[in-house]
Amino acid sequence: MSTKRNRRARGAALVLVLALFASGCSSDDEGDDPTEKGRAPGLDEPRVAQVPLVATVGKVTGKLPPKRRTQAVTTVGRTVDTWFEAAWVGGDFPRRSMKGSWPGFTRDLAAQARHDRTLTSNAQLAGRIDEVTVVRRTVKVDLLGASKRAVGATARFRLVFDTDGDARRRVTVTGRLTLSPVKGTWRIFEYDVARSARAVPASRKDN
Amino acid sequence: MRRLLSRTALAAVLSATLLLVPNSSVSQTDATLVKVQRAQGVDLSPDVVWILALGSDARPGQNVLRSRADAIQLVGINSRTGAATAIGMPRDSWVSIPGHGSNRINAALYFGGPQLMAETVKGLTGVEPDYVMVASFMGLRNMVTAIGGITVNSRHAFSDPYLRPQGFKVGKQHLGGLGALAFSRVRKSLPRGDFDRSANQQETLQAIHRQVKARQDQPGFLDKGTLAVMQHMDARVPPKELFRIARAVAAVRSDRITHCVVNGSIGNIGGASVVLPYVDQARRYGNDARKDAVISHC
Repeated sequence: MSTKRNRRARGAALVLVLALFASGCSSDDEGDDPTEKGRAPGLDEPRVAQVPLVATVGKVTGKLPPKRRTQAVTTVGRTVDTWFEAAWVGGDFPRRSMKGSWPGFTRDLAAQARHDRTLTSNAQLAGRIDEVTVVRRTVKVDLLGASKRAVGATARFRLVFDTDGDARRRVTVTGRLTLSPVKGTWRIFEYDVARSARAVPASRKDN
Repeated sequence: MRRLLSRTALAAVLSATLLLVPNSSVSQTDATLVKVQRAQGVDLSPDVVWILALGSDARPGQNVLRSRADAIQLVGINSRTGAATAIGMPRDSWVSIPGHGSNRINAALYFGGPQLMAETVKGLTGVEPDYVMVASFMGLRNMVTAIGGITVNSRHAFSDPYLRPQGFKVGKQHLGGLGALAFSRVRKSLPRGDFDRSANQQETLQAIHRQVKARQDQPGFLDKGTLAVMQHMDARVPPKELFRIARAVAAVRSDRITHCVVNGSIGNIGGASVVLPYVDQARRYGNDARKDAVISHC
């Protein structure tokens, strides 16, 4: 019976709709790199995310109590969403600089990501657009548990957004971020990001 | 020792390229051809990590950290470039063991545990391991079983009346945990004995890498492998560190793997047959690979 209850509780916890505020979710997630401490231009002003992040529990390996799962998914989801905002959809457009796009990344990884900025941020379009409309943002978090604690997380994500301005595109960013817990927060130490862009669907254009 | 040598790691022998299935889609209304672009990166400080992978001959009930090392592979991983290399050392290599004179290299584990083993390997290759990983026979067997077996490409047909009576054929063959263990242990029926066995151990590592590569996109697969390491091996590295190591190893690119075996001549010391390793060659491998985990040629 308790197992069923746990399952129900877990089921309820599986879908965590994180209505995140762009300004309120990144205070402890600054990248290790001093250059990452600056926020993306325009991110200092509070604004409600257009489409909230949907974070769910994926595969859990090892022992991890339901409460810890929920905590981990919430925090990991917040970390990923902070990157979504800082690198892809947040800030004022047109945006010339991608500085501050990799909060939550380890120092060395942020340097690699900066090198790959055309794929780890919106650098390809940011300077030619006036507006971004988020269509979807989801993350499914696989967790590794040991001694009833989460010791690693793999965030499989999908971010879809439309751009407006000189470049009108529907951009889809998918992939995987791998994180480990560091001093009460989570740090991204690996990324595998795929980006594709196409014309904005006709139904969207009509809106 | 330089860093975490006091901590003995049973780090994952998981190697793979991170491959993401391109998420291409074609809009029905726009009929646009979508080109998916990808970027990958992993941070495991330092960029190049050296893991001394040991196969212990400890029997059930014996201490794997104070037995003799049957398999000795020094594995380097470059998390920035995705390169990896392995330097194999025949277990009968006659070397200097700090504080214990000269002896077979595999005795260093028995005399002084993983730390002395690492110091001894450093003396031969010039490369100081960051981690030492010790797997018992059962540990390797269970690890291979946990990932669904491996496919090895054998260069020789060979067998062993006890470990593998049916033998191994030349070419590709799928092995379970027990088969992988035999493939890595059999020596006598191989043309070059200990040298070929060391090469087979490297083939086993590479086969594990291929298997991981084939399945790594399955959610939880790498975590399962990491958990298997924690359960079946004597891991003295914090789990979250093991998790990071496993990911870095998994990021190794299959086209950037190099491996060599330290050769030597056969000698006789005190009536026992030993390998007199070519120290210059071992040093050359170490110097070549130290900074980038690449051996230019064997």
